[in-house]
Amino acid sequence: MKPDALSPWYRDLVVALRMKGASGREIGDAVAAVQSHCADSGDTPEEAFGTAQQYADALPLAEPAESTVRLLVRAWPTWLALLGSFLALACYDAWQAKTAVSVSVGTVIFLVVIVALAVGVVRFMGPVWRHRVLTWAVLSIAFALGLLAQVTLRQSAFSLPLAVAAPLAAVLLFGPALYEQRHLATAYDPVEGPFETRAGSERAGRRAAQFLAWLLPVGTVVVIAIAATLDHLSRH
Amino acid sequence: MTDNAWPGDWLRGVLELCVMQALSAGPTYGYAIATELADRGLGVIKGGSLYPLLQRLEQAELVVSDWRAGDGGPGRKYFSLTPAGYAALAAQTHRWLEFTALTTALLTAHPAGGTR
Repeated sequence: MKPDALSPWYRDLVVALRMKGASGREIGDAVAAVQSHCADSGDTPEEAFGTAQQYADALPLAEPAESTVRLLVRAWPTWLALLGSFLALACYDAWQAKTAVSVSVGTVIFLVVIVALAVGVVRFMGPVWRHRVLTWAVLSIAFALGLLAQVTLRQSAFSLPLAVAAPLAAVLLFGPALYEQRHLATAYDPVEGPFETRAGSERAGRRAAQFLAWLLPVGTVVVIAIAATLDHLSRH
Repeated sequence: MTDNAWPGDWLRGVLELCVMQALSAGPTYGYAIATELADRGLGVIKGGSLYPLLQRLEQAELVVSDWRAGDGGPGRKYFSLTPAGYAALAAQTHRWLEFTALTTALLTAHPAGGTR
């Protein structure tokens, strides 16, 4: 089941149930039940079930929703990879400058902003989804301010020898990706209709897991490669 | 009475029992249950009330469900009572009849608007 292909009411239902902690199978079942009922009755989903949010609130789930803290803790590989990414970029700068690796105050602030935004989005997913444009604007401004802090506040917060920082960055960057590649496919939980086979979605899950797991490490390597190319070109 | 004029509180109290009764004849799907209850005078039961109730019954293992492919349609989810569901229906029906007999006796002891 492709949520993007559904009409707005159904998309809102998918999101509302996801936010409530429903599994992909539960969501697919709920969507199909509404479609079936409306096909029989000739009603619109809103006429028969109220708003998508009201219906999602009324449906009991097999498992209670995960808390914000648990969701964020479960994302630990992403947090480590993010740290690794920043450290790897700092290592590249240090290698170029032939100095120790210095993490600036601005970088620390930028990391804190990213974590705060992630916590805010996860904690307030309902309002975030209902006010998507406003959320996008707030996130963009906050992200831009964080980026501005990183660019302008260059004084060192702490420094590490390159021989220590580089292996640490590699472990932080690639370790979570290797871990996630093994474990994310089983955690991947797509929206599945009652007549869909698990095999298709598991293949999609493995592909999505590989893509997501390597997004940050590969992105970091690409950024470093671009920076190295630009540095090389600027010297000649 | 065929209109949807029963007080919501009354319906909430008895809807679960009526749905289980509709299922007692054999497996059936949500819209058919709603239609049967409407035809019997209970009023329009919205999907937004019916399916959460069916899901609660399923979680309590009083009902099981299975999807059956439709002819060109999206398919239907059929619900049926489990043995525990039949037992619960019998027990709750017995209790409900006791309750309604009691309330009927109470309400008819003194005619409405009458004085002691």
